[in-house]
Parts: sequence; C-alpha cells; structure tokens
Amino acid sequence: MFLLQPCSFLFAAIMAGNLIELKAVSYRYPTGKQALTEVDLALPEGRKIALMGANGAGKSTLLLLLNGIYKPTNGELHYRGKQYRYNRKALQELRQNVGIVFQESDNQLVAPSVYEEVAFGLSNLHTDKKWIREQVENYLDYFDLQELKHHSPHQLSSGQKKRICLASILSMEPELIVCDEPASNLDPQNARLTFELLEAQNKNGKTLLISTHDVNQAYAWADLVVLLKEGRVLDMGSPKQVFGNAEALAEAGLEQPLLVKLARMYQPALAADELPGNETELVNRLTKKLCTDL
Amino acid sequence: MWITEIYKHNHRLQQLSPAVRALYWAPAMVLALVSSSVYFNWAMFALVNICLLEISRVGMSNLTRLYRIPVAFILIGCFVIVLEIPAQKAFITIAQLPIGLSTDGLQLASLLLSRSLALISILYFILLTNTISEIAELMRKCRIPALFIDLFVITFKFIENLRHTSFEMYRAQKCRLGYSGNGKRIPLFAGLMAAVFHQSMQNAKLLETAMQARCAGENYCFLQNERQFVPSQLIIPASFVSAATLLLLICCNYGW
Ligand SMILES: Nc1ncnc2c1ncn2[C@@H]1O[C@H](COP(=O)(O)OP(=O)(O)OP(=O)(O)O)[C@@H](O)[C@H]1O
Ligand SMILES: [Mg+2]
Repeated sequence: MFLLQPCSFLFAAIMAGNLIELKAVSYRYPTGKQALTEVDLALPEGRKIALMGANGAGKSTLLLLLNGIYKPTNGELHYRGKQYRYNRKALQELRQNVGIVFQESDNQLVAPSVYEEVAFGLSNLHTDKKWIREQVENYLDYFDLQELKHHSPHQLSSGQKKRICLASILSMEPELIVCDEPASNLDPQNARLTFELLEAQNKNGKTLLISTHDVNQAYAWADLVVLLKEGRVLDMGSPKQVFGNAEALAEAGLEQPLLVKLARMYQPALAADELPGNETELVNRLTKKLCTDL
Repeated sequence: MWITEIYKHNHRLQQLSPAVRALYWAPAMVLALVSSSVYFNWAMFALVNICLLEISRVGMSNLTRLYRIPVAFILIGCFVIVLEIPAQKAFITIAQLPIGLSTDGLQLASLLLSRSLALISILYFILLTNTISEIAELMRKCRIPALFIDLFVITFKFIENLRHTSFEMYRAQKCRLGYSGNGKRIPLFAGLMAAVFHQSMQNAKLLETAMQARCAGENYCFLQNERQFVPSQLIIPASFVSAATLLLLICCNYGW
C-alpha cells in the first residue's frame, strides 16, 4: 500500500503532464554557500504544490531558479519538456509563464502608484495600451484595489502590499504561479483571503507552487507536498503521505499538523493514507467512536 | 524629509495629463529664468507657493520644512557674495581686516536669492504634482535620450531607498538605546552609515531581481492611468501665464 500511493500519484502526474522538471539541479551562491544539492523534482500541471522546509532550507532559492533568475550551477531545468535557455528572448517567454510573488512585498514594489505597479509587468510584455488598461482595471476590481489605485504602494499595510503584488503578477496571466510565503505577516483573515484568491486561480487551471512553513495550511490545502532540508528533497507526495511520516518531518525541522497529531493521539498506529483530510472527518470519527463506546 | 513622503496622490492636478500639468510650471520656469527683476521673482515665489498649498494639498509646515536645506545653502552663498574684504565702509574690523558689505554684492545677492527661491519653488511644484514615473513619461515625450531618463529614475529611486533604509535603521538603533551616551555617538553613526549603504545596495539588487522577474526591459516603462484631455483644461494655465507675463513686462518697463 505504501508503494501503491506514490505510484498512483506518479501515474496521475504523467497523465496531466509535468509543467516543470528539475533534473539533478544544484545551486551555489557566489558566496560559496551551497543552497541546493541535486534536486530532482517534477511539478505536475494544474496542481497545488506546497514547498515545505525550515528557515534556510532553500525554498526561496528553488523558486528563483524556476523563474530563471538564477541559473543552476549543475543540472537542468525543463519547461514543458524543453530545456531552459538563458538568452533574453527565452527568459522573457519563461517569465511570462512563470510568475513569482516574492517573500517580501517591499522588494517587489517599484512603481510610484498602485495602478502603475499592476500595469508594470503587462507593459513589459504587451504593446496594446488599451488592452493593458482593461486588464489592469479588471485586476484592480478583482483584488479590491480600486480605491487605492493612486496611492503609493509603499505607504500601505502589509496585507494591501501583498494583494498588490499578487495582482501585478496574476495580471500577467502566468501558467505557473509561484508564491514565496504568501501568508507571511498577514493576519488570519487576510491569509485566508489570499489562499482563496489562489484557490480560484487553480480552479481556472493554473498551477500553483507556494513555499511555506505552515504545516496546517499545507496539509489542508495542497495536492502535493515537497519537503526540503538543507537544499535536498527529503520527501515528496500527497499531504497525508508526507505529513504522516513523522520521522521525515522531524528531520526537516517541521511540526506535525494539528489534525495528524490529534488523529494519532487517538489511534497511534493509524496509517498515512487513513489520516483525516479535514476537521469534520476527524470529529465524525471521534463521535462515532464515542457512540459505539457508549 | 523626502518629497515622496509628503506627496499627496489626490492633488488637484491629478486628473490632468502630465503634459497639461507642464503648462502650469514650464512657462513659470522660463519667466523666472529670463527675468532679472527682483520684484517679479519674489512675486513668482509667492504665487507658486500659494498655488502649491492650494493644488498639492501639502500642509504649510511640511512645505516650509522642505525649504530649510536649500535656503540654508543659498543664504551661505549669498553671504559670501555680500561680504567685502577689505571694505571701504568697514562694518567690523577683525585682526586689522575691515569687513563690510558691498552694494553691488547686495544687489546681486538679492537677485540671486529671489531667483533661486522662485526656481526652487517651481521645482517643488513639479515634484509635488507629478510622480517620478510621470516626470519620466514627460521626459520621454520631450525626446530626451532614454539613458538620461533611466539615470534620473535610478538616481531618484536610489536616494529614496537610501533615505528609507537609513531612517529604518536609525529608528531601530534608537529603539535599542543607541545614541544616548555622548561618547558613543560618532562611532555608532559611522557604523550606521556603513550599514545603510550595504543595506541599500542589497535592497536595490532585490528590487532589480523582482523587476527582471516581471520581464523588465532596459528602460523603465510604467503605464499610467489614462487621462482625458479637454481644451477647457487649458484656460487656467493660460490665464496664469498671461498674468505672469504681463507682470514681468510691467516690472521690466519700470525697471524694477
Ligand atoms: N543572496 C544570497 N547569498 C548567499 N547565500 C544566500 C543568499 N540567499 C540565501 N542564501 C543562503 O542559502 C540558503 C537557502 O536560503 P533560502 O533563502 O533559499 O532559504 P528559505 O528556505 O527560503 O528560508 P526562509 O524560510 O527563511 O525564507 C541559506 O542557508 C541562506 O543562508
Ligand atoms: Mg525564503
């Protein structure tokens, strides 16, 4: 059974096709720091993928490699089966398809007003101003930014800045949306809102890749979880499978999700694929047990 | 104090395109440059500041604070021009050196002071009614080489970045009770400057990365909100220009 699940997953991945494949990718910073070592990874199309790891595990570095900002020191990256090329034209095309929202909004905001910020990526890609304006208006509406459109992005709150960054990337309509810690320093409500916005993008067929250390969020949200530790892939699979593996989690320096912890408290020998998928499932099981006990 | 901090996005020229906005300040600038009348310059200075308060919605106190540094520099310059050493009509004598004021110098200094203030006020008018990208856009329309525009934008961004970083770092150090003892101030300050430069370079690099990730090309192109042009928008600037030109003609005519 343990073998079956990765196989079925792999099967599903092959069926859907992989958007990006990394083949033995290593990256060393100019300072000499080896951030990634021999990473093999396939990102299936149309999925919600969570990249997990402790601080300094190499998540941000990996995401920047996908966008072609960094060039791997060893190994290859493939986009839809074609190897990455690092000339201007190829990069332009790649970056149009792979949109990245940075960890720190402040490092991403360049324009003096919200409107120009959202239009920035689009006007680098297209020349039809009328169409760009329509697109910008749509996304300002969608992200509820109309009231702020003349404001300077630097004078807004973190949540608003995050929304602007998301809007400016999503307006470019990339196939793969990469978010580096989309919920970092957001309050719970804004974090939920951000994930809902991302979820809606996924429903429209976009592939999502987010990096996070929030195990509960990843457990509830992701289709595929990749566990990184010190620049290596430690484990990879469905959330139940990865988060059910307590040793690997501990090795990566992460906690078990609350649901997993509770379920295991109640049934210590629970197999990974029998873990509850959400709160309701867990509560149902507990109450059922309570009823039979009574 | 930095312009972008007090810039109000809802200033009254906001609905006008940068080109129409230029009609408000460009003629004023030309007139201030050609005029050699002290009275006209002062009148221009006053007028521009009144307009600034009204149009840019910036408060009086912020506006006066903006003038502090340029005025200090200009005053020092004027002071040097005004002094005459050795003077015919000594004012005071220091170490047998008669120091006095020269009449020519006084005239020159007053002209210099009035003209520079008028020009600076116009400059502030430009900066407080246009964002950096709007200015860049205008420069592009005037066919200024892209290299200069980029240099201008980058310099502006870098200063802004530098100022922001230094402010944040200074505040963080102050919160940790830096700068409290007198003896520790200078070394701390030197450390701060080094850290600020390092951090600003880092920030600039990160920003550059983020721009690359969105396919930024060689030059900065920002797309602004579309603004309608209606000929009636020209009425106010045209009347201002004619009034100012008339004033200048009167001043010249009477030799003021
Ligand atoms: N610009 C850089 N130059 C040199 N080394 C770097 C640079 N950026 C990151 N590193 C190093 O690379 C390793 C991976 O960093 P990375 O930023 O990818 O981690 P991360 O998983 O995103 O961490 P976090 O959760 O804290 O964001 C770290 O050990 C870090 O010290
Ligand atoms: Mg990171």
